[in-house]
Amino acid sequence: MILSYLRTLLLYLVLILSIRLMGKRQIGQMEASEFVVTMLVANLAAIPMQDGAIPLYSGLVPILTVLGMELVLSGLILRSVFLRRLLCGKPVILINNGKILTDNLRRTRITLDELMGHLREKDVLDIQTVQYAILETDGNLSVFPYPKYVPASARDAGVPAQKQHLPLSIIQDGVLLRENLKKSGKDGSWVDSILAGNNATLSTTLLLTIDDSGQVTWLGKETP
Amino acid sequence: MKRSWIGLGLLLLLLGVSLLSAALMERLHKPIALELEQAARYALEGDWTHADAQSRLALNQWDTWAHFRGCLADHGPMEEIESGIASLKVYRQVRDEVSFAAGCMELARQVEAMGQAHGLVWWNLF
Repeated sequence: MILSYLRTLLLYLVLILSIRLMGKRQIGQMEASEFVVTMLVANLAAIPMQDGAIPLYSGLVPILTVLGMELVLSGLILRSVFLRRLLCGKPVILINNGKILTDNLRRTRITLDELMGHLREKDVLDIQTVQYAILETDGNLSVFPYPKYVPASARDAGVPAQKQHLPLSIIQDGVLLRENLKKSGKDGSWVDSILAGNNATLSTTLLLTIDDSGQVTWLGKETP
Repeated sequence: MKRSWIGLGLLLLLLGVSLLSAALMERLHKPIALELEQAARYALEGDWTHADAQSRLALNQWDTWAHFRGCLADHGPMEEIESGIASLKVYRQVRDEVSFAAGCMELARQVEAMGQAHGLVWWNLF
């Protein structure tokens, strides 16, 4: 039993490392090949986890081989348009200037029901409001309504938009992020003054952020 | 591109280690199988001294690489061979020549198969 426990731990760490090395993608944004690789790696790890008679390398070698192939191919895909087309395909236009391209629907094996379903997911009820709909290589549908149906932006309304500022986390869950503190141009005494102003300490602080306009946000942890 | 180089390095490392282990597994097991076959022949000829010595040599070699083998081979076939070895020791002790010879030949085939299972031959791919 202890061996099963240790093998599972090891395979889990290898899996996490493999997924981490493969890069950040959410499941809904993965290319088909990436999704296959993720499922494959998970299943490969399960084999030696379940059966102690199978040597550990039976799971490790395939996982690491798949990881290696994925890393090499992802680099080649970045450099080669041909490989990119071959492995990822290319986006397909399903609606062009308001016209549904039935040939492309047939080619991508998407029914009208599925197309309507995808549009509803993008909060589009009336298909006539859509100028372009493009099926991306990861299976998502990008929808572009006609400009007259797009909600007005601040520019359209002639309203001067407020500048946006990206907040930088200085404290997260009681931990001081020194790298971000350095980036913000502040120091420890500034942090102390902010905490003192909020009657807080590092350990009672959930989140402290500052943006480039100097706006500070402090959130404390919930007291039990 | 750094990750691609890591991937390529990983693939090459795995290839090297796999080729090495395949070569080693075959190289380690073939002599053991041959020695067991020879022990069987000696036993059938009635030359018990040589049969005994040959079988001990083979089994010592089997024990020498036990840990390496344990990392690579399926445990099921290994356990079958181990139980065959236990029977062989009994036949050797009671000097049952026919059973000893049969046991040696059976073990020789099993040991050879274990080595060949990791060999780089096209039919192993399937």
